[in-house]
Amino acid sequence: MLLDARSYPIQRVLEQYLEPKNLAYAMRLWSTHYITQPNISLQRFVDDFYSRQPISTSSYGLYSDLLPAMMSALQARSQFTGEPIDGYEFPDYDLGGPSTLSAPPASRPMPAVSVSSEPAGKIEAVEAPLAQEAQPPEIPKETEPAPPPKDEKFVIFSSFIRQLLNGVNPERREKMLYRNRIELKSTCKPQVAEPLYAWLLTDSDYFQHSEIDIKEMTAVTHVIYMGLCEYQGPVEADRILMKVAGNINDTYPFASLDINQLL
Amino acid sequence: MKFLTLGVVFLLLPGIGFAAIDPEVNEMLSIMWLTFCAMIVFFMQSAFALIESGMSRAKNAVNVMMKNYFDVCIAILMFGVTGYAVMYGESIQGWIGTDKFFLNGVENGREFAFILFNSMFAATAATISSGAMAERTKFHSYAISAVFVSGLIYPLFAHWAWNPSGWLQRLEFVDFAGSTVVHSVGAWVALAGIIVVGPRLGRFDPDTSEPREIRGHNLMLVTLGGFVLWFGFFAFNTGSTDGFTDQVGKIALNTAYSGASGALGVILISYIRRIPLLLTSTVNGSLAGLVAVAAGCATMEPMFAALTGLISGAVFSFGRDLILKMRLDDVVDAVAVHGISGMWGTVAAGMFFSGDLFNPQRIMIQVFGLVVALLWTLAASFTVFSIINIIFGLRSTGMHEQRGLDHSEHNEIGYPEFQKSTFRAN
Repeated sequence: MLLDARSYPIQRVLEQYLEPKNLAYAMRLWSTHYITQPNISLQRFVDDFYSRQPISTSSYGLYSDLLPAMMSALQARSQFTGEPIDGYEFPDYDLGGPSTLSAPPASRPMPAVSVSSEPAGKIEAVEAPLAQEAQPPEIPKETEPAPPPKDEKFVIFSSFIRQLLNGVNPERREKMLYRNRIELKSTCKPQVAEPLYAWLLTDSDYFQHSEIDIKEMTAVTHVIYMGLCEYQGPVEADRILMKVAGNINDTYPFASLDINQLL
Repeated sequence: MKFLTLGVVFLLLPGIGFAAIDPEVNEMLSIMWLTFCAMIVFFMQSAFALIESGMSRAKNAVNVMMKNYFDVCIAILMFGVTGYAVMYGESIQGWIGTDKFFLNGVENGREFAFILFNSMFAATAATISSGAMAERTKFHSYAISAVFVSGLIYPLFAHWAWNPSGWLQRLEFVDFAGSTVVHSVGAWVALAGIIVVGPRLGRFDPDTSEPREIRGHNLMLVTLGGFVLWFGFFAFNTGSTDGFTDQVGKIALNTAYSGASGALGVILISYIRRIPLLLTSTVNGSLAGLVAVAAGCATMEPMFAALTGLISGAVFSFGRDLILKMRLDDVVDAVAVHGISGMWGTVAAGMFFSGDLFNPQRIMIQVFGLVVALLWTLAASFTVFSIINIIFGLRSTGMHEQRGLDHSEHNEIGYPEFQKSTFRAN
């Protein structure tokens, strides 16, 4: 059995600081709530299990070891080029040899078994206090990472383009985008063109790319307009364009992006 | 003193027999008549501008006006520089004129009036394409094409058909006021232009190829243009007598009959085909009749002129559909009005030739002449437009087409109080 790439370094560090009972609890907490969180939540994870269990060792020392261990594991993962094994993208033995420990797939609650290499009898002992836990640990609300702030310029641009595209029924819209794909991709830098085109094919309301500039936004708008002309007729295309531009101007009257620049 | 005499003669003209007029006075009268007709034909340019602008969208109204205004300027000058020489210079085997470039050697007063009158014909031939290619053609590229049309394409065919030494003239090809020489030539230039420039954005559905209606912004302009153009056709046809003769009345009457029956023809065919009675089609129907009668207005009887007009209305209606079926975008239906109806008019001039009705040989010569016009003009203008397209680009960008050529080409807007223009003037 393999332990997934993020859990293995955590366990190795925790083994050095925690007693088996606390270790099992910590690993359960980890696999239940923190395994899918970004590395920045490691501190929160440490604070969390320290606040729930009486632990004599210093949390600072544990955290100091935990973070580099996780970082080196990720670095090793990024250099790994081999085939995935057993469904895991990164086999644990690359982090220090095959593990005898078993662990569930990422993001699933870890059962209260097999959290150490101790004999089976000891495992039973570990399970008892865990089973007595009345309530599973609550997820602190602040653990949810805040979504990255949206740039107003891109909100306006995305909304404008999306509303224009909504002027065509989905089937014809897909055809329209496919037909104009070369023009769409040639209007932007290659690194922008692909994600932009992929976004146009979705129903998402927000697109952001740091490298797209106003000239490219204008060019994209005009390719979309030409598509509207083809698929809705020029009279209807003009009506849609004016209506959407009016909507955007009304919604974002003093915005950082003047929609009239794109027309 | 001469002018006083002329004025008196002009006023008393109905009561005076032409034989009784002194030849010198008659010469002066003819110069006056020709100059007067040239001025009225010049006024036809305003009618073209009104019709073409009215049939375009508001965002392109200024651009259409500008093209009409400027192509007259180009055509008048170019006809003086090369056009008149090619058309009426000393002929080489009836193919091309070789002298009188820059009007070198022209001294006769009547010839000056004649040049003025023919300059207006050249301007008419040049301006026909502006309407057909409206709303998506670059201004400067169109202006360059007008140089070639008025300086070479039109005058060369006119040399063949109208120069006394022209090879078509020697075959007795009949085209009195230019159904083929002026109107069809202009229309074939337009046809080549719309082939090269392509249709307006969204004119045809990409999946079904069905044409989409793009309505003009002002039908009042179209109607007024129709009236003015009709008025101009009186001078266009009667002035082609080259002088004030007793033919003028019949020519004017034929012109009126054909214009009226052209509109009637469109109305009738619309009833028969169960299609809406459109104002634009009615105006175009009368213009088709006026174009058609130009070839035979001096050589056919009034009732035949009316018949020619009536049929030209139907010819226009079917011609318009044919152009649409070919997925060609002609904004003002210039090819149907001037080209296809002009062809019919040229054939009709042979069929209804007074005293020689339905002579197959004459009809064949007419057909031959119009085919020559079609081949020469289409080939020459296609070459010109293609070269312009390669060097300068004939078509405006999609962005300019969206913004409208008024703003993007001229930085002016036709209706600033009413037009919604959210784009920023860069």
